[in-house]
Amino acid sequence: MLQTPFNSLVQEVMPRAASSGFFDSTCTIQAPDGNSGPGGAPSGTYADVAGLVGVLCMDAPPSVARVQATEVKALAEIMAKQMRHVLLNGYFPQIAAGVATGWRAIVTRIAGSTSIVYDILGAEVDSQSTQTRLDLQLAGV
Amino acid sequence: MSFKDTLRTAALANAGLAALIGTQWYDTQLPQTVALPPTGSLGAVVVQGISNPRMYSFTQRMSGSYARYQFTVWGGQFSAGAENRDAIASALVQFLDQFNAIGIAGLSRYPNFVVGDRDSLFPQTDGPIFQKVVDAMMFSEDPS
Repeated sequence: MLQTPFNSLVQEVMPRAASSGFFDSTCTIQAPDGNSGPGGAPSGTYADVAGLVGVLCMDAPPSVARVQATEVKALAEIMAKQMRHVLLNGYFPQIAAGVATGWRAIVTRIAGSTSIVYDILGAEVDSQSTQTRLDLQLAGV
Repeated sequence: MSFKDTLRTAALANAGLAALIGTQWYDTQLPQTVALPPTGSLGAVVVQGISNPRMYSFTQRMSGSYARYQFTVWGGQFSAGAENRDAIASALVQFLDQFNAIGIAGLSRYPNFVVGDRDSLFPQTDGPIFQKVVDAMMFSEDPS
């Protein structure tokens, strides 16, 4: 009997969060074209995935408990990783399947900072089909 | 000037290599500031000394030695990076043919022998960096 009011409240969560201004970034999901160069390496050409362009999101670190310390100094190179926890304003179950095919995420602060291209390590949707969470990584030498 | 100094100076003066790596020739470790394709336009080479056994007679150390050096070629990401890696490795082998570390001018080729040539890659965010690991035995006169 009480399910309907609760459902209604749950469905209001994301619209209210979006209208509050918490979603201060956008996220665009891209997929590789699947083509290879002459030697067999991936072409490196990506295209936007329909319906997943400019999605409002919150771009945050995975934890506020401590600053991430991910720089690894090896003999031959120094690698640093930047991990992000991004909440998308909407239900996009197709992203989880796209991760296996090499989809990537471009996150842009609406305020005007440079877009950053991330690898999608994982994607999950909530039980009420209102939101999508992404675990993103930027690794580089 | 150490052997590595001489090697780097000669490599950067080599037109074939310089066109592909600019001045991105490093000792042992790739710096974090290097922008490889597709972010940048040039690849990089990192040189690591592997071994340098000296040669001796019973009474003295000889002035020359065969040293093994490992050249890690950083080509870049994706197909362009793989092609870049192969081009740099090819230019490197040609450079080693002509690199004079023995102080004798005018030879048709010099005693630097490639003994290993292995593909590798370094995982990156949205595609690995294609690498080539080239090992060479290099004869030089009194290397440091």
